[in-house]
Amino acid sequence: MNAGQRLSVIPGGEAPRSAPDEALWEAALDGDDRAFGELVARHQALVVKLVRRYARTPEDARDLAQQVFLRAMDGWSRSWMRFRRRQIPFRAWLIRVAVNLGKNHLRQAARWALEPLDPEVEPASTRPLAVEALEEAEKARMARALALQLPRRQREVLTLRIDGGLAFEEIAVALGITANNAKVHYHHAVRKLAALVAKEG
Amino acid sequence: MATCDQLESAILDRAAGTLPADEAAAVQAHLDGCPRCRAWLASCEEAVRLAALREPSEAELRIFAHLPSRARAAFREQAQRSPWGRALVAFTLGAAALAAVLLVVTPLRGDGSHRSAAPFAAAVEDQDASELVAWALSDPLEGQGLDEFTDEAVEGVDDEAVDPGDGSELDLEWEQTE
Repeated sequence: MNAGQRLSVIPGGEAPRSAPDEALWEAALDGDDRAFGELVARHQALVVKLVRRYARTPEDARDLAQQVFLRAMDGWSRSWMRFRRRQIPFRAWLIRVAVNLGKNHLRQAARWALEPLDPEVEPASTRPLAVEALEEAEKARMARALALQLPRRQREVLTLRIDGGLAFEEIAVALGITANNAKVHYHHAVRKLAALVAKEG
Repeated sequence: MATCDQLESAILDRAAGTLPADEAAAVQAHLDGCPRCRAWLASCEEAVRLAALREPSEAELRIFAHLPSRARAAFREQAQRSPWGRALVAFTLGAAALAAVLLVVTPLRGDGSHRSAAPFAAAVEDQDASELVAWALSDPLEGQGLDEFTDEAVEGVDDEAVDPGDGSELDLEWEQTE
């Protein structure tokens, strides 16, 4: 099935797992929640990776990821008919929505300054941690906070790279920049982050 | 022999795991003889390692596993509550009634040439797409006092220009609303 074919909405059936994203998306726009579910299953790992940094708990990350899919669909439905011929890939649009919803979440929570928005916080353990482990954990917490203070593009490229494991080419499409620009922003982000970590540490 | 400054970008590529294979030998040769660059590479790798999130635990993965079912439920609920959802229901009922009256069976077309406007798109308020794009490209953290380090002009980088050497043509008119 190619992107030009319409995905049949089969009540009680399953969305074809081999259908391309755009076909599933169109079926979802027609009300096929199974197609929507297939899209979620297909891309949830990436979306969760991208929003975890902005969530306070795993449940928070899960709910934020859910918002990403719903918001991405909402936006898509409004522009679909107008831009369908010049649409960006669904995955790139999803990444963009994830980045912005994550940042919105951070802003609304207004907790960044204290960095309790730390998905690395483990449940309390009865075993005392070694001093070295505590220092390492504190350095990591500081580095994650500093990463969120980088200039916008550097922050976006860095987090997409290290959280999502995305290639610069894919980051470029999602952010609307060139791959070379993405790489340069990443270089600057790492350089700055290394300097900040060394300074604070 | 390349200097430290000349290899800075390549060393950062190595820290990012994107160093081309044909440059790896030259970079390694330099690192072998330059403690300063070795230390710098190590500091870059450590900074990235510290800033990265750890892999999700088993408990977290169990929580994330519920995402598809929960998202589908929210999708159905949203469809029922939203204007386009109600329009979809009305459209579906109307179409079913029409089909029953006319007894017309229309085969699904594979090429989509007779695809009618999707109910969502037809019923949804025609929001200015530039608003949507502006939201997607905005920075919610701007002006929140969080940008301790202002967006500096990155030498040699122009986000608005397409690098002709890149070979990538971004035919995305909507991108230019940023």
